[in-house]
Amino acid sequence: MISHRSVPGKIVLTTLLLLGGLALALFLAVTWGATGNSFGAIREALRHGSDATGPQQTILWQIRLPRALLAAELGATLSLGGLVFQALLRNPLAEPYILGISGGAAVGAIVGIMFGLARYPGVTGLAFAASLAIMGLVLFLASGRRILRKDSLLLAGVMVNAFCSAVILFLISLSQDSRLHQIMFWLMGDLSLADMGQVGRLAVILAPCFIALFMLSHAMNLLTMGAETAQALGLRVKTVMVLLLLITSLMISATVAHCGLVGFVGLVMPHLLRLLIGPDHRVLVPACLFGGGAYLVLCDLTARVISQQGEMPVGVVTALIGAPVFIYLLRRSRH
Amino acid sequence: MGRPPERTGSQKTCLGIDTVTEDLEWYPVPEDDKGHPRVDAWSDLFFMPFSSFVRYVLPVLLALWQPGWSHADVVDQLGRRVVVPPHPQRVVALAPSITEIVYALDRGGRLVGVTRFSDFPLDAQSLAKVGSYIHLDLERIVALAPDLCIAVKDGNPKSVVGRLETFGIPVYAVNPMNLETVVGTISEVAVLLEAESEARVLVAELRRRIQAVRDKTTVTADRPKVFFQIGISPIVSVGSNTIIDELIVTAGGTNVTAGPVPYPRFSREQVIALAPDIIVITSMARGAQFETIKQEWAQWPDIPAVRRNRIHVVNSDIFDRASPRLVRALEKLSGLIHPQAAGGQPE
Amino acid sequence: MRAFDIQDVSYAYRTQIILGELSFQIAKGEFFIVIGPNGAGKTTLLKLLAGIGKPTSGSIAVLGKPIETYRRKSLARRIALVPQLSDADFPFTVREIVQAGRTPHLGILGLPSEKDALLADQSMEFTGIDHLPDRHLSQLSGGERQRVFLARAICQEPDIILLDEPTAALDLAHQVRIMDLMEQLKKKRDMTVVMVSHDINLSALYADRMLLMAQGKTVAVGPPEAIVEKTSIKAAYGCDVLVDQSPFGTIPRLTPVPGKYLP
Repeated sequence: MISHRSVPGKIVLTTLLLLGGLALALFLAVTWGATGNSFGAIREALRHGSDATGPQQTILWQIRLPRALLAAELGATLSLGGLVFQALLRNPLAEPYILGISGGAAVGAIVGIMFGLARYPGVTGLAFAASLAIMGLVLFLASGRRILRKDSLLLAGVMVNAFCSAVILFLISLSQDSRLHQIMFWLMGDLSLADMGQVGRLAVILAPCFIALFMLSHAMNLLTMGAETAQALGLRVKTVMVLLLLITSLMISATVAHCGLVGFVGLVMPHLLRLLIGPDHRVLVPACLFGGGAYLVLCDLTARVISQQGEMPVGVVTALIGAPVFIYLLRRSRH
Repeated sequence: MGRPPERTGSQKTCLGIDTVTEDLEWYPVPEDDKGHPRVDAWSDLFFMPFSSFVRYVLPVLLALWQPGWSHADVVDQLGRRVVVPPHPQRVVALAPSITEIVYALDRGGRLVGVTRFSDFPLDAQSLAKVGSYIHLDLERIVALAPDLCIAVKDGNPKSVVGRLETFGIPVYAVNPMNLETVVGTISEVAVLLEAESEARVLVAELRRRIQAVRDKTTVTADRPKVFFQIGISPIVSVGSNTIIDELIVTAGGTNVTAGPVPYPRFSREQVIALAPDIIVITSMARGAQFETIKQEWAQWPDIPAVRRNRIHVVNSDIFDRASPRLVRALEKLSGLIHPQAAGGQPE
Repeated sequence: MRAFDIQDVSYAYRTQIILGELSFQIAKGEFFIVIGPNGAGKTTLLKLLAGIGKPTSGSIAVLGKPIETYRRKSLARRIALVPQLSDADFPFTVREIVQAGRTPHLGILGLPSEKDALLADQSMEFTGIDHLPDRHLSQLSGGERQRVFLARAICQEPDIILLDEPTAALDLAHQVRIMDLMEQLKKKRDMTVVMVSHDINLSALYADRMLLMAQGKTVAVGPPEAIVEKTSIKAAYGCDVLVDQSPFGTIPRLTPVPGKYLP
């Protein structure tokens, strides 16, 4: 009988636990960085509040903190995006970029970089607009009465991604050396230019998306049991699927536009969390939010401190960790 | 008249404080027994107001106007207004070319940070690194607590420059695009780093060397066709409006790949069609690779440069960077294009 | 008020006509079984009755109101669908699946109250799976799985329960068990049971009325005696059969004729 009541309990417990994890990760990310640890500076800040100034303070609060927060936003978005797409498309290999969002954003960003635009708002704006446009294209290609048949969406997404890849290669072949470097960094995930303004603006878009997806978490449970079953149980399947698609695409586009392409998070985190927590999306949504956020904060920290020569792109770290983990999960699931 | 001017170590003025205007006290005011200023001659009457002015008013005025005592509001090469400190002691050079310029002005001691590939001069290699000039590391720069950063337009990301300024770190941007602006940049940086006299000497020397190269070209009307290869695979050359194009022309050659595209690509057959007299290859690859590259061209004896064995490899660093060594590049190129002119250099 | 009122319902998928102008009624509290050969459109009909998909023409009325006028959730409180057994596996436990049946009565997050939890447990007891609450679907037999979905449907507290071939792929004992459970639901809870079946004799033993379909059209509607008879069966299935009476009174019994016994 206990398990009936445990769902809200599970939600609260998971949230508190992972929120704590996120807080710890943020603390570590602010304390450590390319120039070593800053426990002393933190003590100073705690003691003197806003009177504390100096390069160490600048580093902590204006460089590391916004960057860590942006990483948390990115991790939450990608993990949640992967979770939703896996439920929506009923495909365990689904991940946030599968419907062409990554291709579109990359094309927009590369064009922006080639024109020498500033990272914000130029490159970010173009990436966002392009990814939304590509989403529209995917929906159009998959449209008709079959729009929500999962295969047509998937196919359209794969085709569009392939096309965008070709365009990206073409653009890269045209670009000069200095631009090439910037492009590469964007394609591998670049959080180095985070500032509190960006973090805040992104939060304004993400917060309602996160809340809405939590509200739809039971609907995702039902979708997992089959679209017809879900309908027979009283779910307005079409409406819910469209909502899930739009909300998730919006949040992923906005975040990718700010951060570049970081892979393997949206694919691996949902599976990992499902392994630990179970299939109930009502618990998985907050878990992806805070757990995914914490994971990426730590990955970004690793990317910053691991090399003396200058930072590694965070996408490389997530790939190096994510790929083996994913292989392990695959092998596990076959038994 | 009055007593001869006394110059003592620290003579008190009537203000009661030592000021730097000591050397202006060349006509002390006569005093009576009690130390009060005394006027006892018409001549004194004439000189008194003047000396009073000199003694009292001028120091105050000069204290306010002393150049370098306060931050200056200047405009950099990109038209941005920057507030630079008068005596920058902790400078970060945001590109290898800037590092070279700073050292050439003998102000290397003021540098606290440079970018990753700042390998010339050797002293720069021991300085703290702040990432590469295309991907600067904000945290490392801020941790050095610089009072001035010098950036280049071509390469440094605008966003990073903007962030540095929000942290209160002044960033002075330069944009050396050709020989003249390189020389101009040296002078401007010199002003920032209080190295005007060193700059005058350096600039004069550089100008002399550039003129020498120009003079060499007046000896002959011959303008050999130069194919300047900056990329091995694919083959990339230089178009007009690039520094290297200007070097070629100044050194008395013709750039066969002049055109609107700054870094155009060519297939081998297109190069054959261009029939250059000289092929100059600059690349990061050194030594052994040169023989391979030469062999690749040697298969096409239709090319005049191959027939006459005028294929050369040069050090890319001096050609890539908008620094004083660019003049060295110019001279090298001149030697390759017109070896027979006075003072020609062997290959 | 009838449970279902079907008038001239047709359904076409692209250019293929699956159902052609069906008209019949199903009374409340009736045990109604639809039989017919493969491809007759039985499953499609059942889904339309559940509100999944819309007929291309014609109308369906549920409990007196046209089906379109029902909001999805309120329809789900009236009608429960037990789908055909498939290999589809999802990672939820038996209890979670049964619990999902309470969805039409719950809020947006589907969080159950005490009463809901009790109902779920009772459903599991009723269908005899209360010893399996934490197992996964893949660990259950066909019969057990069928009963899980039945328990879920019962949790919906519906007036009408629709079942798609619930006895297919089950062994004899389980077949009878499921049919008996349906009988109990009808008697004890006044539920209208509408079932699609492939087993003519078993259906005849339980049904109040039956519908015989072939190629999307009605061949015959009525009590089992009217349906299970030579000409109708031959018209629908295209084969010769012998019909006599089962040992249980007037209920007809069908015997197919093997080729070797044909004259």
